[in-house]
Amino acid sequence: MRRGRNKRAVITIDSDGTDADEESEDDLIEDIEDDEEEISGIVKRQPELVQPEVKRAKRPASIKTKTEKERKIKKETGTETETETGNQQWSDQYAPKSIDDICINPQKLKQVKEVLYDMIYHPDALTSPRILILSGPAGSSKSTTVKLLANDLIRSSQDNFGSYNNDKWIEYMDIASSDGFNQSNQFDEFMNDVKYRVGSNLTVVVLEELPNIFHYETLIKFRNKLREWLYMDTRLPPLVICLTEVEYNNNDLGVTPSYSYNIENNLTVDTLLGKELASNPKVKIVKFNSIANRYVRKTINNIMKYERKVFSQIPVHTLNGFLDELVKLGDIRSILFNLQLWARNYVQRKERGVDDETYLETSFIRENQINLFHAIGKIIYSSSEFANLADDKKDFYSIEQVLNSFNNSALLNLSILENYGIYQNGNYEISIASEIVDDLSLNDLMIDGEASKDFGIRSTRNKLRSIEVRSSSGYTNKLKIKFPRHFKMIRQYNKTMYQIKAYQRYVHRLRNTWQELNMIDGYYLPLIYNKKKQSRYLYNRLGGKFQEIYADEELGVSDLHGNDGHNGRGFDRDQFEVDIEQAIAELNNEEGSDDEEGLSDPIDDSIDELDENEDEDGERFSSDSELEGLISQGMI
Amino acid sequence: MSLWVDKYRPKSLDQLSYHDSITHNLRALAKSGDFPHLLVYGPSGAGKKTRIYATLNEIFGAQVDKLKIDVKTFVTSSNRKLEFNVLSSPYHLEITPSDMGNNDRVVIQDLLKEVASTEQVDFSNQSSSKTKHRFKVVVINEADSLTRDAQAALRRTMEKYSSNTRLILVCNSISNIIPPIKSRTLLIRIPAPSITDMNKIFTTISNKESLKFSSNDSQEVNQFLSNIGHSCNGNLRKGLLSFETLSIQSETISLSPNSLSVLKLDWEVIIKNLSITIRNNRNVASLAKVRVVLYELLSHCIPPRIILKTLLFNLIETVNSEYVVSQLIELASIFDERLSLGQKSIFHLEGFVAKAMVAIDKM
Amino acid sequence: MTSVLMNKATGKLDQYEEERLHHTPWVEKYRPKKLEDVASQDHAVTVLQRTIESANLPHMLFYGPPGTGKTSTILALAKTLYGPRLYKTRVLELNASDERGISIVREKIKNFARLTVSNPTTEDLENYPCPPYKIIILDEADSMTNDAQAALRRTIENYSSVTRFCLICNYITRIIDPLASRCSKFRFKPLNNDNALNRLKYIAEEEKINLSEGVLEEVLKISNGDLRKAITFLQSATKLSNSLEDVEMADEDGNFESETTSKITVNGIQEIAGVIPDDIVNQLANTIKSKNIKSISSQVNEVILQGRSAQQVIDQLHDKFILDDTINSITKNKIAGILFNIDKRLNNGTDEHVQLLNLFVQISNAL
Repeated sequence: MRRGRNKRAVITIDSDGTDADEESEDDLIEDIEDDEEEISGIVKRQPELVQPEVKRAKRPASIKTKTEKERKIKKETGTETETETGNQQWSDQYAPKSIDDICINPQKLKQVKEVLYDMIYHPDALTSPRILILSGPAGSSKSTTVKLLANDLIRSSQDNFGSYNNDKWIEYMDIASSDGFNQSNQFDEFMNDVKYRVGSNLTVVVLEELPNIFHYETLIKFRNKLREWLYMDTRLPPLVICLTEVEYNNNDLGVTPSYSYNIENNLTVDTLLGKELASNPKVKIVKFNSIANRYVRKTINNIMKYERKVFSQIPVHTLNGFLDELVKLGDIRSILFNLQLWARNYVQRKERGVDDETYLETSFIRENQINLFHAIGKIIYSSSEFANLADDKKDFYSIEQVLNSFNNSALLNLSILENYGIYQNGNYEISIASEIVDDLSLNDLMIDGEASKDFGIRSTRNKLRSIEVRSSSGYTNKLKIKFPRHFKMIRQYNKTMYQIKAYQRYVHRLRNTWQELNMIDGYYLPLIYNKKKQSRYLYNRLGGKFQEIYADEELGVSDLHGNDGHNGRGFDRDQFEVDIEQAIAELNNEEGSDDEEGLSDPIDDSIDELDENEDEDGERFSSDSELEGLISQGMI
Repeated sequence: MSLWVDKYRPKSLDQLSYHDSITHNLRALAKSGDFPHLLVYGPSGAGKKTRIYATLNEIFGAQVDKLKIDVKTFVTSSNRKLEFNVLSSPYHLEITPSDMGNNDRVVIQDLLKEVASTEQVDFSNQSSSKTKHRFKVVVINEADSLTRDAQAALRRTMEKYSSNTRLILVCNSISNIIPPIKSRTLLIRIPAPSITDMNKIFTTISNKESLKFSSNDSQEVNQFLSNIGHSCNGNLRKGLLSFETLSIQSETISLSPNSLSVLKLDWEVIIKNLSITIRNNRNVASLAKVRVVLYELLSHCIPPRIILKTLLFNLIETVNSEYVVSQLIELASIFDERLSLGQKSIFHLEGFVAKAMVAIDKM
Repeated sequence: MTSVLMNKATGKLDQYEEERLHHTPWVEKYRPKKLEDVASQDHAVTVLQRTIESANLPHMLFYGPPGTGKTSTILALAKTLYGPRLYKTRVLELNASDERGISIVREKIKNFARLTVSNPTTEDLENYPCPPYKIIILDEADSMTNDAQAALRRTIENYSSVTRFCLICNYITRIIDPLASRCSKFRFKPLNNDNALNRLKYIAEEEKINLSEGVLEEVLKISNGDLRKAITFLQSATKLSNSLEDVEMADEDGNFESETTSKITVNGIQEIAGVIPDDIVNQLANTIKSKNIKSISSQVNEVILQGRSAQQVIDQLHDKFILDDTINSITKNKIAGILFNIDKRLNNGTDEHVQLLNLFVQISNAL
């Protein structure tokens, strides 16, 4: 593919640039697709900025092959998707392939390079910085910088090993798993695997995608893993976290209802790592800013050279006017997306004889960042930016915008489920709603592939579009967009499960499955015990009362932070908890002293039986990490 | 002061009160001192584990009831630590593979190897005692949730270690057990006790506990006890717990049908009310209310499949068109499959509800 | 009882040996020793016998349903070629699903092929052809991944001068073409009933089993032409009935009713195989035909409470309806479609109760 592109680019340069290319765009697309087939066997990561022959001569094999491990990870997780079509994104197509091409302030580049160098070549493996955090707004070249630097720094020392073509970085891929329960393990496994990537196998570990840190327990596990990483007493590969910080932005675009906090602007270095980790001396932080105009200009000029066919059709003053606005965005990815969309549209309209120079000039630009609530709004209502377009185009661009700036399709689908009902305040046919949910349900079955990313989203938009607007002017949105309560449910689920499992393990002694205890015993036992036993507290429903779970209109900070541990909140003081505590205390007593009388007040007959065996294996609970976990989480 | 389920649990084969022909076979196996690998299956609460323990008791003596819990740790190939609980006596151990997720194959292989290599060699000095046996028993719960991989591995292990290990696989249904395992084990089916079976047990207990009923008419009492039996649909464990609940609420048990209402499980009541909402309010706003309840049930660890099934049965009750009923059943069957194939159950549960509303709409 | 135990304790070693024999599956114990003994695979046997005469064996691919004698054939063939002494060093049995990694398989093959062949003694040479190559048997080859199979192709070529491969599988379509084309293929047909019945009768006589009328026929019916399954069922049933016999002998009161004697009955065999008795299947079919949803749903509930396997219900209802002459073929097609659909869903680990209920209702609608 890349060779094909290069060829193409070279031809364009060789031919007279001012001539309108003979080929229509369709042909071009075909061409590209042909090229793609030629080398389809080669897996590639990111297309690179096209370089003339000189560059290619210097790097004979410009087609990157992924390292074995990476391929394995990709394969296992099934996220390998060839996203390219003829309509390739410029931001991918012209991504830099050497550090000199990165769209970044050279000072910043130098700073990162120095830290990274220190991490790689520090003489003392134990005191060297271990984690580098690149924080900054979206599209400020964070990950591009670290990846290219990694290749550059490590390759320069290993040139003669023939591993020249392998990337010297490995990236974490997060795969949404069933109901979000196992994601943290996935991260654990990744971290355990990569820690051996040292020596001749040295690789920079890049975390750009993170595990589902909006899920409270996953966040805690994530932090613990990083802490562990900092204090491991062996040489480790450099770990770089690319964190897209979103500053609080009150620029409401009017499409969506007002909101105060959202999931994205909560994410900063501090909220991700917690104060303690963030201030650790082994953690280095480099803050990126929006990219300054001159560097953006440089990159754009480069691209315009290769896309001359397109830009030659746009009058210079129109183009410049647009570019002046555009570069202010400071987000290189979004700039290129907007530029491409704008230019294509301009040309298409011109071909159809519409000459509207101001068309879409500014509307694209404002759309620089899109948060979850905006994204949902665009899916439910379609974007107002495109209100003057035909219906299908309107939908298409709205969805494109969402997809281009929002990758987490699982979260999007959950959010749609939470919000499809707000369209026209829910005053539409149940059959349409059922089709939407049906498609979301189908979408949930698709494990990978391109369709899994947008099937539910597109279908929702189409189905909602089909609803006749009853009174086009008369209705207002009474219902607010809500954040999906899935994570709330999971938190509650875990709480319930912890209590029941603790009961099953320590009081009930594993004679039934915990699900059965939950469904049957959990209801009857309090009814029996509260009459039968004279206990200090009442027995409540095992695992806590049934509680209705509502979706939130915002994600409060307090919900995510400050709730450090399951300190029994949500349960009243409950005799079951007391029983569990007591059972554990007794087990600990047995362990401490071999005194069999330690069992003063058995709660359950089965514990009587236990003490006859305990001297065989008095220490068996000493390494009970489940118990420790429960205690540390304040459950017990 | 233990619960009736524990207090009246039969400890030996002689105490078992129903399925006499099965008891007869088990006794025969126990007496012969040896048995092949067993696959014990039947609905939950039918008494599978009770029968297994009674058999083990017959073979090894009362020591099998002296259970202790060990925490075993395994390190997976990806270097992850995995912990699970093992319930054991000197003669057997019991594991629940669903604790181990996808690593069940490795864990079971390792564990069985360990068991097989530590042979029981205590028959030199107690040759006359009943406990003289050269094999150890491994009880594997929820065997139908074992991955195919683990089952395939189990099949080889069964042959390899058959000289000193006996496996007892326990499951609700053998549909998900691979054929090679079925043909290498002796199948023992434990059906749920009949209403009469349960009635006998309830009567015995009410005599022993000297329960008082609001009427002394044995016919009426019998009818009442049968109603309890009906309400727990063959699950004796549930039946005993609900009977005890009922008996402890007041000095004398009122025989009026109203007193049975306390026996309905809380989550079942929630689902029943849900079905009424679905039946009566079929619109988009109602779907949002349904979602609150679905999340409520999910967050209390009620398995999605059970929610779907219970909802279906309740909906069928409220609908009188046979055509709609058969449609609802087909819908449930489709979404049941999606629950298996998909990731997040809420989509499929709500999908079923939405489709069900549409189906009822057409009535 | 006590005396039996004492005996066991004293004769520990003998007893171990006895125990071992006792545990040997009959499938192994009664495996055919010679090619001629293989039941009802005349075609394959004739061809293979000819190759033995010329002592020039091709690579072989045996395929066919389970329990039709594939493994037995190759083992008998190997024994005929090498005799018992050489056999150990000349034949390698590998189970593809045991260790799936191709690298392990390749390693084992390499090591085995590298071992120098121990020379046959003159005695062996007189009695057996003893050809100068080894045989590698790959059982369950169809469970190997395509990658592994592709790699195997190279391995076969590399070692073909010193080894012959015999691949065994159930489904030839799962063997990649390049691999299949390197082997002579032998199809193993499902056994015909007479031959299989004779084999079972032979075993029953050898083991002195006390059988009721029609049990062997039932065993064959249940196992569907799979002789291995049939023999295993027979062994399980015998084990159970033997222990019943022991109890009766030991039980002084003798208070067991006569119907529980140790004779193996048709019902006993059905229970052991998890098969649903015919009268219950008929009852199910009649309920479905009644088209009454209420009685259907209580019938399904009963099936579930009885602990019956939904899979088994589907299999047996399939036979029931598809062989029912009173149903026209269009309806049969519909029913087959429904059965397939529910079967598929069950395979995805769905709820048996819901799926069976749906099955019954759908079929009753189709009728």
